[in-house]
Amino acid sequence: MIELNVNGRPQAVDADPATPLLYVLRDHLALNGAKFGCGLGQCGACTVMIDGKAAFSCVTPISALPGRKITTVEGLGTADNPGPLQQAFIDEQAAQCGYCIAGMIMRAQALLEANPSPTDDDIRRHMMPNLCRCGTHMRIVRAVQRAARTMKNVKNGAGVNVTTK
Amino acid sequence: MLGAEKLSDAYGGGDAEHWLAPAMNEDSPAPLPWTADEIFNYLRYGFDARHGIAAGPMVDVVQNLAKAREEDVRAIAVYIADRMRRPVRQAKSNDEANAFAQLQESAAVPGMGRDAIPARSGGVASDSGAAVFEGACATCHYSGSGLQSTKPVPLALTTSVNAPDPRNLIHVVQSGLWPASGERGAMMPGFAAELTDDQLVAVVSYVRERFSRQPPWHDVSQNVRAIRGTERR
Ligand code: FES
Ligand code: FES
Repeated sequence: MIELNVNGRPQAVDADPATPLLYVLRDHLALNGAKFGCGLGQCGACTVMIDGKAAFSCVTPISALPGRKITTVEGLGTADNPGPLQQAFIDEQAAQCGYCIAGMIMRAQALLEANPSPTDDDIRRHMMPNLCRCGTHMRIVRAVQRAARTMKNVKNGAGVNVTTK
Repeated sequence: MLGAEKLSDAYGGGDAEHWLAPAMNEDSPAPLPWTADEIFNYLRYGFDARHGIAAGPMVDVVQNLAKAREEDVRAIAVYIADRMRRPVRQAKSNDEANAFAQLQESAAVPGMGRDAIPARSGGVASDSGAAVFEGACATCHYSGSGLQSTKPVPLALTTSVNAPDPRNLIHVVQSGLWPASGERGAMMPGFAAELTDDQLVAVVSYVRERFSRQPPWHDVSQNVRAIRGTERR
């Protein structure tokens, strides 16, 4: 048994220590947001956060994770109550097939936690490891900018439903 | 004298921006001696299939040499190859180095259906290093994985795995290899976010002890801690 902390909840997982986190999320914990794209750390579809940093779950063995905090896209909100980044992706319609999007959101979340006011250039540089096969990039950059504004407004007490455009 | 050349130590290697600049004389750590063509590949394209990939401060060198005339780069390669003066006895160990590389790449990743390679005596590698290697590295760095899209240089042949100290390997595992923006080139993800310091130490020690015939490193931990935070993309 390996003890993991996923989205704030402790989870005991019965799997080989070398099993990649992605397989455990999807096959053991039914958290299917993170996707399998390449399994090689080359596309970002599997991105989650580990201790607040964006990480490829397909190349992270669970043996590396006890005592660390894992956050998946499911940890940011629900369909009924989406978090600011999720809402921003909806508002900007920043998805075509959607396969890359959970990974994009998690990498963007790590950026906004470290840098609440990124420039477009910061966003592009930070998002570089994540690929989108559909070419949704411009909308993704807009969604990240929108979420940055919402998060700041929430912090300043302006409420979530501010118009940001 | 300040700034004077120390001829006795010509091409003996040194330090560059916290990386090890490996020796290019008879102390070169490369398991296979460099030929002039291979040095040319490395300098011109940043990649040689029998030695490794340019990283760290060498990335800028390769980018600049890409603008130089091809004959000039070739001339540098021929000159360096000549200066390397690798003793003849090394040449006959080529077969041995290749055989060792093949064995270590294709045999025994625990969990991939074969028995584990016993840790070599005197080493510090642990089971946790093996598990990290299996979960994080083996999909690509394992010739039995059958992935044709990723053909890394066999670890046993790379200079960083065979170098006298672990700095260059730590840099690569931590930061990965990224082609310059808009350029083609070898790519490897870094593991700075995925692995803690202890896990980096474990996997780097495991890779050294599995893929190199050189003595184990005993200063991995200090170097991981010194290099942490210098990630560059
Ligand atoms: S599936 Fe993990 S990076 Fe592609
Ligand atoms: S929306 Fe299809 S891969 Fe990004």
